[in-house]
Parts: sequence; C-alpha cells; structure tokens
Amino acid sequence: MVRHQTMQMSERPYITCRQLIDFIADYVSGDLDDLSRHELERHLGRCRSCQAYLDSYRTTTELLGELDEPATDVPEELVSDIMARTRDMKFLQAATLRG
Amino acid sequence: MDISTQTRSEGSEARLLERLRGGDSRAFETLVRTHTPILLRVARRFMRSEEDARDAVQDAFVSMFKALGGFESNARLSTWLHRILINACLMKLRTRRRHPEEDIEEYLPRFRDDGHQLESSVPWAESAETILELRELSNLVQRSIDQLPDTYRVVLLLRDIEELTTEEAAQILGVTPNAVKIRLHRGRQALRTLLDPHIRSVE
Repeated sequence: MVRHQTMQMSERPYITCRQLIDFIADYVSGDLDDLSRHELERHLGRCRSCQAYLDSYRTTTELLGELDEPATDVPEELVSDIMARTRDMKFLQAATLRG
Repeated sequence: MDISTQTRSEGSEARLLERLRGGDSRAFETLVRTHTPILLRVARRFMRSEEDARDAVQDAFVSMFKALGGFESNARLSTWLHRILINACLMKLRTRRRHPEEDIEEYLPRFRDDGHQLESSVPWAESAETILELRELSNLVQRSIDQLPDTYRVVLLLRDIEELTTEEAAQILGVTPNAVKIRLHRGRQALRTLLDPHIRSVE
C-alpha cells in the first residue's frame, strides 16, 4: 500500500487503492486514457498490495475465459422431447413459412 | 476457418435453412443433434439444475421455430441459436430468482477512510492455466461462480465466458452499458474474493 507520509512535498499525490481498484477493469481491457493509465501504473509501482490485487484480478478473468466443461453426448430423450414439442406446434407443416 | 471452408459451410447452412423453411423434419432433427451439445453446455453454465438447463434448450428450439420466418440469412444459424438460448436461460432465471438476492458487498474489497486497502492483498500461488489443470481447483472455480448472486453471475457469463460485448449484454439484459460494466467488475471482484483463500500464496 502506498504510504503518503513518505512522499516528498514536491511529488504529485498518488491515487488511492480504492481509486485504482475502481478502474482495474478498464485498465485490464486497455480502455483507460494515457493519463489515467500512467497514474495507475505510478501507484502500482509503489503498492505491492495493489499489484497482487491486479494480478489475481487478471487471473480471475483468465479463468473465466478458459473455463471449459467436457463435451457431452446428445441426450436422446432431450432430442425426442424437442421433436415432440415442435410436432405439436405443427410447425413443420406450416405453409405460412414457405412464402 | 479458411475462406473456402467458410464458403462451403455457409452454403450448407443456406441449404439447411431452406429445408427447415420447407418443413423438412429430418433437417430439423439434424439441426437439433448438431447444436444441442453446445447449447446444453451453455445452458448448464446459466442454470443451476440439469432439468432447467434441458428445459432452456427445448424452449430455445421452440422459440427458434416460431421465429424462423424472420431469420435473416446473413447471420449465422449457430450465433442466432446461441442468442435465443441465452434469452431462454435468462427468462427461466427470472422465474427462479431467489428473493431477496444475496448481497455482494461482503465479497468486495474493503478500504480505510483514506482510500487504502484495509487488508493487504497477497499474490496468488498459481496461474490460471495451473488452476484449471487441477481438478479440485477447477471445481472450486465452478462452485464459486455458482455462489455469486444472479445479477452479477449472469453478466460474468455473458461477458467473460460467452464473449458478448458490453453493448450486446446490455441489450439482452435491458440495462445500460454502464450497468453491465459495473456488474462485471463487481462480479469479477467477488469471484476473486471467493477464490483468494484457496489460491493465495502462503507468506
């Protein structure tokens, strides 16, 4: 975490952890403007906690993107149910769709 | 997919569509058999029970038939079916929604009055790839997603798993793009919090 008391008076104040975390999604997706990105990176350079937060946030989004369940066979009863329901609708004989 | 494969695929899809519109029941069965495995996988992510997932797939095919006449051939059938299925899942979720929905605040990071993190974050010990390779952790990710309140879980699924854009997700949910962005960020933060105790490195 950034320690304000160690900053020189001449230094521009750092953004807070709350401000950084509020804008992490835009930072990760590359949607931040140059100035905001620079301010985030300035904070990250001094704050190990936010660096750890950012890395784990990134890993979380990667997990979602790569999550993959095993392929399944087509359940026969589901196919039959779908065919039965659409037969009931008489869709397949619907002449209205032919034009 | 190269151009010639894509052209062939588009050609066969156009023929399939023509047969469907002509009322060919075998064409319909082919369509159901081809697309059901993928649609069922998507539905299982959204719905919390196998029965609801299967019902959503059925509803999607029924909705598709009703709308087949208005389908524009310049869209892919699979993309169209995917959207119809998501709508069917969301419709079902609305009727199943638990009241009141759990509060997400407890899963969000907490800050001191001066805006700094109340508790320091610790780096994670594993990469996304390793986490998904380990069955126990992979199951944990799935369980943690299921634990999220639907308002946030659905946006995570739409944006990060089904890869819809912010605008597409906003349209399908009937909310503003900004609401989608806020929910996505909160959903990711909450999921991160749920996973953190299991994956954080030991100091």
